[in-house]
Amino acid sequence: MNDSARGGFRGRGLGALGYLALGLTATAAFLGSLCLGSVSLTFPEVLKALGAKFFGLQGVDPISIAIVWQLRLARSLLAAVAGAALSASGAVLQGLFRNPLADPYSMGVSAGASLGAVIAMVTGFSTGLSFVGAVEISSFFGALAASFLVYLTARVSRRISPTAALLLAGAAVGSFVSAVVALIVTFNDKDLHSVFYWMLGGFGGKGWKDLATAAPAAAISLAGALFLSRPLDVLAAGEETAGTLGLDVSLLRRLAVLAASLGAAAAVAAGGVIGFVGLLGPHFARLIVGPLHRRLIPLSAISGAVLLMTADALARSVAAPLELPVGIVTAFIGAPVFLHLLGRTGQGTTV
Amino acid sequence: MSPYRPFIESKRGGTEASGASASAFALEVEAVSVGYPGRAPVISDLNFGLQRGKVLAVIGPNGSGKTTLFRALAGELPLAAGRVLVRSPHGGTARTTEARSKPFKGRTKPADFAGAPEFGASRPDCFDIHKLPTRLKARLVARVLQNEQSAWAVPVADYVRAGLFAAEGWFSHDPARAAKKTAWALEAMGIAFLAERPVTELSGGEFRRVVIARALIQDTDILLLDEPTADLDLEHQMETLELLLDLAKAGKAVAFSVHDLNQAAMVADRVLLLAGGKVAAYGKPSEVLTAGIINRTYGARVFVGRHPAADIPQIVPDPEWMDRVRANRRGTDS
Repeated sequence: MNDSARGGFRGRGLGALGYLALGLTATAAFLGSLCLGSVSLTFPEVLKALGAKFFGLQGVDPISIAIVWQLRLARSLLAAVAGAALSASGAVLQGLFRNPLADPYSMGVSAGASLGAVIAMVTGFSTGLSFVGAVEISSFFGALAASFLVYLTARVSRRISPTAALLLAGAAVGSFVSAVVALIVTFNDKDLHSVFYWMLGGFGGKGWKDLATAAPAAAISLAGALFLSRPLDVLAAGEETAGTLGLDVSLLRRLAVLAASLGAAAAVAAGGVIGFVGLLGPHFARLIVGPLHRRLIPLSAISGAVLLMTADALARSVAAPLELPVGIVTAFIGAPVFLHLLGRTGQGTTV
Repeated sequence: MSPYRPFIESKRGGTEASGASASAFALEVEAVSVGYPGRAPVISDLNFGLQRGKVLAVIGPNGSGKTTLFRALAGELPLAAGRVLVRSPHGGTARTTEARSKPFKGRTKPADFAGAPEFGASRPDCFDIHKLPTRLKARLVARVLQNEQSAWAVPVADYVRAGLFAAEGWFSHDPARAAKKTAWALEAMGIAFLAERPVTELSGGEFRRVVIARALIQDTDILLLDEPTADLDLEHQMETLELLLDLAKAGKAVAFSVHDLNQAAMVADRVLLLAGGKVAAYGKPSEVLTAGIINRTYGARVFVGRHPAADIPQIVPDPEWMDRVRANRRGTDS
């Protein structure tokens, strides 16, 4: 029986070659994203600029150093961190909801983040802190508040399963909060442009301080996700069965929602609402290593990082010097790829 | 299918243990009532026991509370009244200072149960399963659901391995031992050749054997199987019934629910007939499976004879009823 007939993956994980290929792809995406932009740099130029900074290499063009170091490196890393957080969160929520169509925004995170961002833009308040902007911090806490509200709302329901209630509450709270955002924007139409741009996502003008605020939250979320991998595997058999196998499903539910919301909030604060990465990353990972979460979650993080770095590099280079919102690029790449994957899903197999 | 052999890795081997306390109840149900809030109780005032080495068949009309009963026995459904006692798999008291000082190695050890609520001086060897944490429940009672569907195309071996979760916890402890146990369970169920196959691509009968294999590596003394023979073909039905007997022989207390009364007659040592949440009858198959009791509780018309080659009841439709139905049928046809 060949691999495709067995669901298109090798159940025993990747070989050494597979991991090597994966590492090379990630490195290539990373270095490639440093080359692309309104000013194109060649591969050697990028390597020299990195060498100058890290190893004190002499005689390197200071402009290319400045471009790589001040404009692109932090930004690429930020895109990678956001992509990894979104994709790992997507994998966790897909595991929790036992549904490959769940995404990191299922918990109302994107709507909450939008509300936070819009409030910051409209009121124009300042954090007074040098290391984090008002919009970022406000959207981060907006995202967490929304997922908390979703969690509380879901608990009200007694008639349906708690997990189904979460999904429904996510949709309901998400729509409500989005309506509040629309209402605020209606009365403050001078901010319409910036709100619009923020909602489509992008890393324009982001730098080291944004990376410093996003990375810790993303790291905690990723570590939490890894911690949940075995219980999420047990949950594959269904909630009732998982209970008979000794899994405390309600504890897992709480921790999974927490880890996923934190990761998604970090990503949204870093780059706005970026679609498809959290949906596609886990799908790619599942095709490569299969559905077991202890391999799926790390690989989802890597594939999400590669996806979003690539999308960001395209966003700032295809229409240079104009920069596209990265959310548009991910949707243009993501939607057709996603449809293709859906079409490939054979009977009895799950992408 | 090869006959079931217990997984022996310690002093606590299945066959050895069966001789020790085969007569004692592994699980006792004391005046148990189960209900959902605001509704009439699904089960009321139930008393019976599960014995190691014996097979109990739970029968009853649809909606009589068979699944609810199993959920209550496994400690998943809170009781409205009464208690479910499970004997400690180690005999005697569960508190052993010697065992508690040693690190947990993934095997059921008395130390894991230290601190769990026990009964006072009267029953020092029993646990109230409803007072145990989820993971400990799963190490005393394994329950196989009637319907189950995997969300993902997980390979069979990994799917079965989830049966070790209760022993291992949120992290894997000993991959080599887990692989060995998984291989043993797959072998015991005759599905070793399916190890790498995604569970989403199995036939109903294959999948049923996968979930029973998973229950086996939970390594519990008590097995509850909800309609294990439903949607299996005749060969696999008989294999599964044989397995139930093998499991009992290996010292497990086995309870299964079933609609085919003849299957209950074939393998059960005791039959529990539920009707409307109450015990309509409980006893040996020959005592419970009588035309009078069955016709009364099921509202059906059956004739109970003897199996032509074995001394067990054989339930077939009542001949008079069949004659009448056939006559009516001919009447409408012509």
